Amino acid sequence: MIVEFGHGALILALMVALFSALLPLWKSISHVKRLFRLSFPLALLQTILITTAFAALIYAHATSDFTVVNVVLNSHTDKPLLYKISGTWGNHEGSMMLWIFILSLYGLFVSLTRPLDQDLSERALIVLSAVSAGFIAFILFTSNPFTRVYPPAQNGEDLNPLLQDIGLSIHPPMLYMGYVGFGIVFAFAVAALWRGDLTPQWARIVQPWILLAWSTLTLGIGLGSWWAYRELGWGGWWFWDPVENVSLLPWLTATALLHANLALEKRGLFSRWVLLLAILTFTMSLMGTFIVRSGLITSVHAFASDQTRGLFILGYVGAVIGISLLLYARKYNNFCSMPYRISSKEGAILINNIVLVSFAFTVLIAILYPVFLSLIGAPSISVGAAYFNTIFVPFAMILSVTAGISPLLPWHRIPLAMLQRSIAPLLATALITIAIVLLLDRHALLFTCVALALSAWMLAGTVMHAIRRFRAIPSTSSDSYVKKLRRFPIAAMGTLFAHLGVAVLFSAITISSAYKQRFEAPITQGKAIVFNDYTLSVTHAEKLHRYNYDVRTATFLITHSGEKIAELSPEMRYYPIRQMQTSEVAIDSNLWRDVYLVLGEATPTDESAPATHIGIRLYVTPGMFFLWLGFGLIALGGGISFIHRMAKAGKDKP
Amino acid sequence: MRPKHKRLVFVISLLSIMAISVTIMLIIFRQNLIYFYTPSMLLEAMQKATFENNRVLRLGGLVEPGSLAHQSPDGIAFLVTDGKAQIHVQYRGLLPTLFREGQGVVLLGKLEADKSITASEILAKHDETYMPAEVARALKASGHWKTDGQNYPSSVTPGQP
Repeated sequence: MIVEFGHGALILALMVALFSALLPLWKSISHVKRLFRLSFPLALLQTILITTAFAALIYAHATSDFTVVNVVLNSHTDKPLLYKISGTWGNHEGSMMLWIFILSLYGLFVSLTRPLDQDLSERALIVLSAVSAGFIAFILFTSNPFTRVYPPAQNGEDLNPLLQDIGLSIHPPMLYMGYVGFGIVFAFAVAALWRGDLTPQWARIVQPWILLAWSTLTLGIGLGSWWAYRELGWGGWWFWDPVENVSLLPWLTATALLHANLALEKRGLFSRWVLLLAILTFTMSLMGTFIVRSGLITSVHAFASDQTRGLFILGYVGAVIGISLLLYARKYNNFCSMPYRISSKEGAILINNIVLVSFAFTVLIAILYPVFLSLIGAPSISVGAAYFNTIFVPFAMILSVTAGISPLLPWHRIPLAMLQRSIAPLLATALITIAIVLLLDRHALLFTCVALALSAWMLAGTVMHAIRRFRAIPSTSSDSYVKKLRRFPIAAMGTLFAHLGVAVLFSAITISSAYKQRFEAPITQGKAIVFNDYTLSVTHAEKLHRYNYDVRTATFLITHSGEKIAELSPEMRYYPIRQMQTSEVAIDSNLWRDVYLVLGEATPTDESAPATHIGIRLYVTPGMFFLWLGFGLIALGGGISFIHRMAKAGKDKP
Repeated sequence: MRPKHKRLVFVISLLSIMAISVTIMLIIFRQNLIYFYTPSMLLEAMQKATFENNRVLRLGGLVEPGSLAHQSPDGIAFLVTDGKAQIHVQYRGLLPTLFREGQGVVLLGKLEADKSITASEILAKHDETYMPAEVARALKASGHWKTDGQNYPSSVTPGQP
């Protein structure tokens, strides 16, 4: 009953979305003004309907209603409740519902905020309704999660065990908040094109949405990496897999957009470029949502998926991009660009934009080229991780240089003396860093030295920026530092944290990849495993049954130079329902290094017992803590800016 | 220099930088393309063109029953087959938990001078849901497809996030 209720609500939501989208066609534009007032109640109605539908689906999953196909295919009565609920969006249909649910919440959010520009917001809401209508139609016609099955199944087929993890319970909502958030930015861009003007005020209205979407996408990518690190058992966190790359694309273009939009806000520059980036970023987000599921790309995450939805997706994405680009081409001349100097903050932002978009482009080619080849019937290929690593390094290095220096630069133009004053301390820090690295490790690679030096350059730039902002706080001589610190401009804090995060992330990536140690060995009864300074001995081994899986586990006592550091119990899990075996990693983390232990089947050395032989794979990776910290800081920076701007917008008179 | 000349120099230098970087990118790209083969495709390709040694490629097929041999100290060797041709593979290291004779396997490895492959990574997959689509296709084409999992209704296929 509740399921039918949800299904009905979704159909009604489609009606409401269509009605909102077609509103302006109803009467001539001049009369539309009055109809525009409907936008808030319509957005509210849509949100209520979609929330009802989504809640109904969650209910069906939580109560294991095996008359629903979606629940049968992805759930099981023995599964822990958390994964029953998160299993709702752990599959194609459910994740589409999550997408549309988030979109409706954003729509409500937009209509709730007191708009600086009523007309623009309402046009944006109309665009959003059109996007929403297409998406709900996609769900209803090709991926309906409310389909019943008769007779009901005895039990479910369980969720893919790899997805039964806390990281993947929160990863999709975060990722989709990012993807969908760029839908809002896109809607505002199309609204501006529709009206044919773009002002610095537009940039001010849109910036919070860019920031929110960008921060959540950062968190989403971070959580996805964290999941891959703990769950896939390869000791790495980023594999340049198509699914990962596809989430990186909107992040790159959005980072470009974030900065270009600042130049638009402060200087009225790059208007055409900003609009194009807004369209591109949402296109990439749609690709991220769809490309994996349309069966176009195979990857370790996507395995095999359905081809039949491909056409609908192609049509939908084609319509979204086609219409917006057509509008862009027609209104292109409405937007002018102003002259500027390359040696200025806007110049630095331009370089940053070129680098980010070029990097996105090189990644995109590597995603699409294999697809293209398979379309023309050529042998299937994949692009090796080495390509991405080689490409990533120079881009990341240029980015570090500009990100370190540009917050210190003024708009308009840079006096030479000032440039020298800014660069000198950064350069000094970079050189000292190289000296320290070589002092600590005489055999350090050139790459390691340069990459760390550039991270230090960026860190120094960020710190200098903070100091300058701090000095600029107006104060009397009696004010204490603490009192002054309290008045530190929040507007500057966003940039500080985000840039700090990128510097920390880059240095952590460098250190973790340069100094990762890997070791494999079979376990032999009663014999300790020795690897460099580490000694592993089995203290305990057992077999047991938990929830919906069987476990084989062994507890290892790990000592480092004779000192006990941890007891780790990695597991091998067998999920009988899906007939799948997974490996549960055990990790001992501290500030400086992760000890990462995986159980696996060793290459049999003995013909007599080939199947039951167990071995371990051990990774000792430095810098992982700082890697996750980097992700967190970047998202935090975006979050601070978002909240600050929202609070400020609330105070502004419309 | 007059502003017009200045702009020209700027544009030309920008274009040449772009051309150089695109060329470098394409060279790196070409070097890192990893082709996927089934054993018969690989043999055919080796007859048509000469492969440089140490070329990295992916090979997919079944572990030929009875071919698994143990080498000291802890390496193994086996044959990968697609029913029409076999390729020798040697490997050292941990095996995926589902690695068995007769099971589907995908591996990443280097082509040696003797036309065998030294694998650096092995993935064993047991049904279509958890197997790269290209391997499933190759196995189906050669008639070696086995279903041992549940068959999903064709209209609904579980996806992944």
